[in-house]
Amino acid sequence: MRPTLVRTGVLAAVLTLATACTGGKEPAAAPSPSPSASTGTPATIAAQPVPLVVKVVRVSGTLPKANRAALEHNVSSVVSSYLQHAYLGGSWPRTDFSDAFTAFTPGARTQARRDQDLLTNHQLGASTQAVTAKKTTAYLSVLAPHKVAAGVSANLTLLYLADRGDAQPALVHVVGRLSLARTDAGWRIIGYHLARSVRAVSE
Amino acid sequence: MVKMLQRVRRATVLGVVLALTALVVPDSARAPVDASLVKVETAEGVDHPAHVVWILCLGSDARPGQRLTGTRADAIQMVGLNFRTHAATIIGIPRDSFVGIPGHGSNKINSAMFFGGPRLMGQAVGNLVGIRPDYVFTTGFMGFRHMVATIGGVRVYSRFSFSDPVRPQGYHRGWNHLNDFQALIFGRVRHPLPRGDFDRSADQQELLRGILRGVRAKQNKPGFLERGVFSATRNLDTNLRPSELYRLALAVVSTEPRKIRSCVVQGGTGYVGAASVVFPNVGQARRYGNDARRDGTLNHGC
Repeated sequence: MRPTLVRTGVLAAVLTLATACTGGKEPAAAPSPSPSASTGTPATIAAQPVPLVVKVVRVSGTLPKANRAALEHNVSSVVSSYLQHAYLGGSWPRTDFSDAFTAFTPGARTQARRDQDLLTNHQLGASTQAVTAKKTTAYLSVLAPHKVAAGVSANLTLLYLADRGDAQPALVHVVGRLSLARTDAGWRIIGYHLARSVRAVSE
Repeated sequence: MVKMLQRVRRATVLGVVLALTALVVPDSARAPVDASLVKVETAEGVDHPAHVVWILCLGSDARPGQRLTGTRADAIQMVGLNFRTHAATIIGIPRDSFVGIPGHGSNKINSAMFFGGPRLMGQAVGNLVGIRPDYVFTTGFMGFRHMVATIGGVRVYSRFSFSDPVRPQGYHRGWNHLNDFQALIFGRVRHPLPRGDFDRSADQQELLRGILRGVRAKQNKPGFLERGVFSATRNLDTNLRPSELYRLALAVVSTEPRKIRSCVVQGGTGYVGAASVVFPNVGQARRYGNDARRDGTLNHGC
C-alpha cells in the first residue's frame, strides 16, 4: 500500500486510528467495550476514522524524490505517534497523558508537559467517552540546502469530535506548526506553535 | 478613570462584535448557526541546546563592494534570549563609545570590527557589558533592507517626530509602518533626535522588536521559516550547520515581543583629539550585564 501512496507523493497512515477512535462508536454488530458502550450512551456520532495525510508541499533547497518519500514516511510515524498518544488513541475517559510526548526531544517534552492542556485532550479527557478523528493533515515545508532535509515544519490540522456521554459533544480544532529535526533517535518534534479551539456541537 | 475607560473600551469591543454578529447571522430562529465566536488558546515551545543565548547584532556601514565584517559597525545591540521563558533583553551600545579594544589600545568601540572582525567586536562589547556573546550576527544596509522587505515592512513606535526625504509623510510620534528603506533610515538618523546616538540606539532596538513582530506574524505561513533559513544558508557568512541555524531561528522566533526589555548604555560626550566620542557609563553597562547574564532578562530595569 505504501509504495502506491508514496508514488503519488502522499503518505496516508491509517495506523491505529481505526481502533483508537471508536470507543462506543462501533456498529451494533461489533459492540465496543468502551465506557460509553457499557453505560448505554446512544451512539450518535458516526465513527469514520480518517487517515493521517502527510505530504511534502514545499522544499527550500533541493530534495530528491526518494528522500522526499522517506521523509514523508518518517515524519508520518512521528506525527502519528504524537496525535495518537495526545488526542486520538487510548481508552476513554482518561486523565493521564504522561506518554503523550514520546515523539518529542527531551527539551521540547519538558515544555510540552507544561502546555499539556492545549497539546493533548487533557481538558476534556475526564468526560470523553470516545474520540472520532474528522481531519488529520500535516503538510510539510522542508529545509534542504544540501539535498538532505535539515529541518521540517509540519503544518498541522487536526479536527476531532469528543463524545462526552450525556454532555454535548465537543468539536476540537488544533492547528499550527510542529517543528521537526533529525536527532540520534531519528526524526523528533523539537518545537510547536499550536492553537486549539473547542466548541460544543449539537448531536 | 482608567477603569472606566477600560470598561468603555470593553463595551465598545463587545458592541462591535455584536454588531458584526447581527450583520452575519441570519435573523431567523430556524436558520442553522453559521457564525460563531470561539476562544482560541495557543501554546508554543522549542528545544534548543542552550536555554539562554546571547547574540551580538551588528549593523555594518559597509558600502557596496566593501567587506561586511571589515568595516565599522554602526548599530551595536547585545541581545539575550531566554528560550524557556520566551523573554529577551537588548542592551544598546552607542557606536562612539570610547573603550579598550584588545590589542589595539583605546578607540571607538565600532572600530573593533575594522581591526579584528566579529570576533574582536564580540570581545570589545563583551568586556564592556561583561557578557561574551555566543553568536555575532552582522548585516549590511542591503541585508537589512532585504530582511524588512521579506516581512512586508516593519511597524515601529517612534518616540519623536522628524522628517526625512525617504518618507514624504514624515516619521510621526507613535506607530509608523515603514518600508525597507524607511526602516533603514529610522535606524540610522540621530541628528533630529534629542539625545543623538543614545536615542538612535533605542530606535534600533525598536526596529528589532518590530522585525520580530513581523516574523512572528508570518511564522506559520507554510514554508516561511524554511525559506528564511535557506536564504541565510546562502547569504549569511556563518559556520553554523543548516540544522543548527534552523534550531536557532526557531528559538529566536519563539521570543515574545511583549517580554523584551531594552536599555541603552548611557554616558557623557566629549572629544579625544578631534574625534567626538561617548564615554560610556561602564558601571551601568556591567549592571545590565550582571542583571541579565544568566536568564537573559533585565529584572531590574534600566
